[in-house]
Amino acid sequence: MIGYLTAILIFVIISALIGLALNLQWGQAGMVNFGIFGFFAVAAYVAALSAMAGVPALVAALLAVIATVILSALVALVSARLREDYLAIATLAFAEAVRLFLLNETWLTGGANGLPGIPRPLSGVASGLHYELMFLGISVVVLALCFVFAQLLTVSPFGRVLRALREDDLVASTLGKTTLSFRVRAFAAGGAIIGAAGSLHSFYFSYIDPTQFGAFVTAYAFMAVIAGGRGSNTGLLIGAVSVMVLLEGTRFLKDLMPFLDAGQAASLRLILIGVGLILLLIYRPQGFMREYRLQAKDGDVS
Amino acid sequence: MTKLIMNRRRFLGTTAAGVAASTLALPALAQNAPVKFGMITPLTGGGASYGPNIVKAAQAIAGQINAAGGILDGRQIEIIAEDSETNPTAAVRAARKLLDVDQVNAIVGMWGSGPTLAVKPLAIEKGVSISCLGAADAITEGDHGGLIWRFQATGREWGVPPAKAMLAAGHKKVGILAVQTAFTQSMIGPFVETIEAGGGEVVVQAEVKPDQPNFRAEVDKVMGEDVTAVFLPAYVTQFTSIAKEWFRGGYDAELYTLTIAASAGVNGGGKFIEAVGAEVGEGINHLQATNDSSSAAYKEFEGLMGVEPGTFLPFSALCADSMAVHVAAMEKAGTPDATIYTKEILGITNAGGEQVGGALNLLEAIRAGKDVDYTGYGMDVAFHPDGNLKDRPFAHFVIKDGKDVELGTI
Repeated sequence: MIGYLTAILIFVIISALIGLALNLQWGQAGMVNFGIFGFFAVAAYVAALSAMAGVPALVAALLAVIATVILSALVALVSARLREDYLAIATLAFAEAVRLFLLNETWLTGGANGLPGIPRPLSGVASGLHYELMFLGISVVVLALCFVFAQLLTVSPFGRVLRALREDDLVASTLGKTTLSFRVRAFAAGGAIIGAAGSLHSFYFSYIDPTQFGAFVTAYAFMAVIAGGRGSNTGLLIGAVSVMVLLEGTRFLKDLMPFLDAGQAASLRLILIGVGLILLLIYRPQGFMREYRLQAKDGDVS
Repeated sequence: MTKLIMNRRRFLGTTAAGVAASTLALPALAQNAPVKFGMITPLTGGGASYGPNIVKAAQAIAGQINAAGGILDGRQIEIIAEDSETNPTAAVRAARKLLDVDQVNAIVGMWGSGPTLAVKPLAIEKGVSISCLGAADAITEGDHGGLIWRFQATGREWGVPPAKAMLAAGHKKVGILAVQTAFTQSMIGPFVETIEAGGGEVVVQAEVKPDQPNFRAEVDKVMGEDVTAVFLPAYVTQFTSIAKEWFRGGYDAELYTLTIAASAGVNGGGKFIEAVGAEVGEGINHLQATNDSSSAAYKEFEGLMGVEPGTFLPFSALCADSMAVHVAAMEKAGTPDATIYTKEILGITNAGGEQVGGALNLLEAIRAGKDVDYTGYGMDVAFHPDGNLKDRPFAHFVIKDGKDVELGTI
């Protein structure tokens, strides 16, 4: 059971990282990124290919972060004039392009066969459950660092400008803020966190293929952000945990119903996940937490 | 007079004694604990047309054995089926649950190359065996300690027979329209080599993604070239759409595909022919490793699955075979520990002993201490030491009037 919980916690951390990135890009800056799975795939493949070429894991992860930061900034630059639905379409198209590249450039990515045997970092230090726990420890540290990074951005003047841009970019630019620069930097900052998530995914799975990076990654990330409360990093963590509880808990509910055949049980599980999300949206549409707001101190009112 | 007072100390004492007693009782319980088989099959997603029958096959075999008294001195077999969602990430979560929470002894019916490759390192680490139905070469590559058994032809085996069948039918200019999965991708290289070695030419090659909503552009592209036949490695979901496009376009080129995609069944009960109708299916060629549907064991299997005689059940007969072989190996080794019992598999499937088909017959023969050669429900099962099935002849079918007609073996 401990092994299972460890694995699930690592999955939660990876999806929480993707959620943190989306919370920054969409939750705060209002830039709809449907192509998040494309950036995630790039990070995973860069980390995997570097590690397989003999680069130390930490450097491989750094390369993945750099790659996603640059790509995110570029995508934000070329989509500078796009908002809302149009930006969503553009980012989705980017992610599909990445997926096609991964499927077709077999010499580099292994195509549909993927990349098996990605070396796991520090695999000589421990084995079995101990290794899993160590990996969990590393993941917790990565999540903590990214959380602090995201939280610092949120409470900083930078975060305030992002929220202003989200509400009305005309107002922000009238006040002298360069919209493009802020948007590019927000997208790149999110990209950095996705880079960390992709590296963790590669190292933990030790096998990646294009089917692991589908639109469902984006869907889970949006679910986590919406459940947590758009804009709130703490809420995002709760959201990511709730989504995983919904995905995995239903597995055990299904085991309690032996009278269903396998196909029915699997469908029922997906129905339960859907019902859970609908209930959440009905009873808690604003999410678990409220987004950060700078408040005037007592007596500070003029 | 003494009163029965439950104070803290006494409570702790009794609890501790109780815990100790239950620990002592554990080994006794383990003797009768069920032997657990986990399954990671696609019950939703792209592979969902195959998964439910694969699970049903394993449950049918387990039910049959349990009714006959179980294995290893009366232990029952328990099947725990998880949904792979046709996705490696979901398969890994399912595998974690099966390995860590349910603590299964073996994983059977592991369908799809991607999910299998993702789950492989976890199972090896836990010393649990995998019987997979995936074709990618990488599945059995590397040292897996004899834990991985592929109850499915490799990509190479799948690719060569269609090429030979096309050459034999006089097709020299052929095309390929392949769905991009690890399974289908692995058969293209061997297919092209065989065509070229036989003096033919692959004029055009196109690929489609498994989840494309429509295949018209690619079908038109391939059929528009100067080709007399096209090889279409795909699953039934994609092949159904592709065949409709081919029919709509009125193309002359003949279609060659895999039986798992295009089977009409000898009685016309295949999923493909039910979806497209006899008119579209007419003249489509399909091939698969010989599956002797007239054997007594296969008839027994059809009975277990509750289907009409002559129904084609893709993958499920292979899954039933994997159950039979694993259970027999456990019985022979006297343990459900995969690191030990898997060493018996080659002796059960390959050795030149008495030919036995069907799970119960196999168990009986093993208990009687006989040398056996398991022939399987659909085909003769024999393995290379690396866990790959030995080459078997392929049967070539063509659909006529909505039914499969066997043209011969290759």
